[in-house]
Amino acid sequence: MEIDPRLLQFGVSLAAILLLAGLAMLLRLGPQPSLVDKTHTRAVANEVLDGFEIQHLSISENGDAALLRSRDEAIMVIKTHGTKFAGRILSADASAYVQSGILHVDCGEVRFGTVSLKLADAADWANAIHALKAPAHD
Amino acid sequence: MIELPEFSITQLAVPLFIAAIIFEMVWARKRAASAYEPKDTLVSLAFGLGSTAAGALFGGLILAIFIGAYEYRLLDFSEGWWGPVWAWPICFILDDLAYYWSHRFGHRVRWFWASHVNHHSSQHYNLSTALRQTWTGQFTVGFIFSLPLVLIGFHPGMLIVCGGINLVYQFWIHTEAIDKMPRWFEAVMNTPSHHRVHHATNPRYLDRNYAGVFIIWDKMFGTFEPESSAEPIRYGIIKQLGSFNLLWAVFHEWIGMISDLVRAPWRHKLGYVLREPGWTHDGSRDTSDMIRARWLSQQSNTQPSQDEAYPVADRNSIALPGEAP
Repeated sequence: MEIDPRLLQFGVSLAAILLLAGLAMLLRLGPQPSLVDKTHTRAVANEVLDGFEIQHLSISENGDAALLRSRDEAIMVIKTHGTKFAGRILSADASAYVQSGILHVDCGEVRFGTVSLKLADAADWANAIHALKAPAHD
Repeated sequence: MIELPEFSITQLAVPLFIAAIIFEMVWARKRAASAYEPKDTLVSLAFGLGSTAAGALFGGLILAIFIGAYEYRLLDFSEGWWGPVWAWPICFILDDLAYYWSHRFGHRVRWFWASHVNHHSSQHYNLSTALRQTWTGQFTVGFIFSLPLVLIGFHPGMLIVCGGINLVYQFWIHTEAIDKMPRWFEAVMNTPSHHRVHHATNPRYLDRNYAGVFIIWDKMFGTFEPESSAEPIRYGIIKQLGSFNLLWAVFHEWIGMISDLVRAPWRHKLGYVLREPGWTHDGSRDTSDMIRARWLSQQSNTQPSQDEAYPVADRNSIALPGEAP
């Protein structure tokens, strides 16, 4: 049986890719980061949105996520993403609920995923996120 | 039928790419494990493989356009794709100039950005990022910047080879492991330092350093920004993906652009295709110009930072002074 050389090349390349990704795992590259304190979280928030003026922030107990409110009442959610962080400014599409003491925040983007946070003030944040919903028109 | 080279510069360089990535990974293991992320690496390399497949599927159309245009060349100096010898350096330099403009449009026109964003969507900056190439480049018209070279009389085969060398050159500059090259080299050539700036999302660096091989184009056309020791570079895109889903990474900006196009009022629809990324008819999102302007305004209201004591590369996770792969 003859294999198309282009197909063979594709297969070999795919194998090489998987081996390289495997090597990265084997070498234990890519440790998960943590939001260590408020100063660090402020710096990360500034990376998400340059100039985001933080009024209040809460860091999840294990440091893998945070919620921040700006002076103009905008809310940002930050989560770990690989060895980095990613965040979103929550819009009216966002939703939140508390279950078993864990706050689950959905920014409205399926691919960004739901962010779970263990916070002392989870209920307050859930209420603040609910308040982002656009007021109903008469 | 014109004769074309039977080899591919980029395919010939693949073993070198793999060896260099392994070397950088081992080095990262010793210096800082966060320089690589296995899922990010997998996505970047899958981008490279998919890009090759997309090129094989759709690249023929662009080649056909080049071959057709070559029939209408103004000058007839070519002996074939291999010569004359004097044409090679001229072709290489002019092709790099064409690359500069194609790349600049890739950042300033959303239709082009929808494709080029793929190369920037990693939050890491390592050699695997270099292979994070688009699958949809053939659906933009970036090739038209090289078309004048064909019409002048440069053989399409010569352009393919020059473009391949250009791409291979750009591989090694995707690293944090090298701080600065010798001064004369930094002045003329694109380097890791210059290209780190290009991949940065810091307002200071947005839409800067479009060069492929020669940084002189940025200096000539006013888009050059040196790497500053004043602030650590952060990589990726303004709205980080926050996902390792390969297909989402490939198509997210196309989906966003088409979605905006559908929703926009008729008189603004074209703006969502031809204006810069981030542009909206109601000003609800930020363009890079808006982000930079806001940052500049904030800078003018604050005192300069004291955090300027040591170079960015020294603070980078895997870079140490005097060490390079």
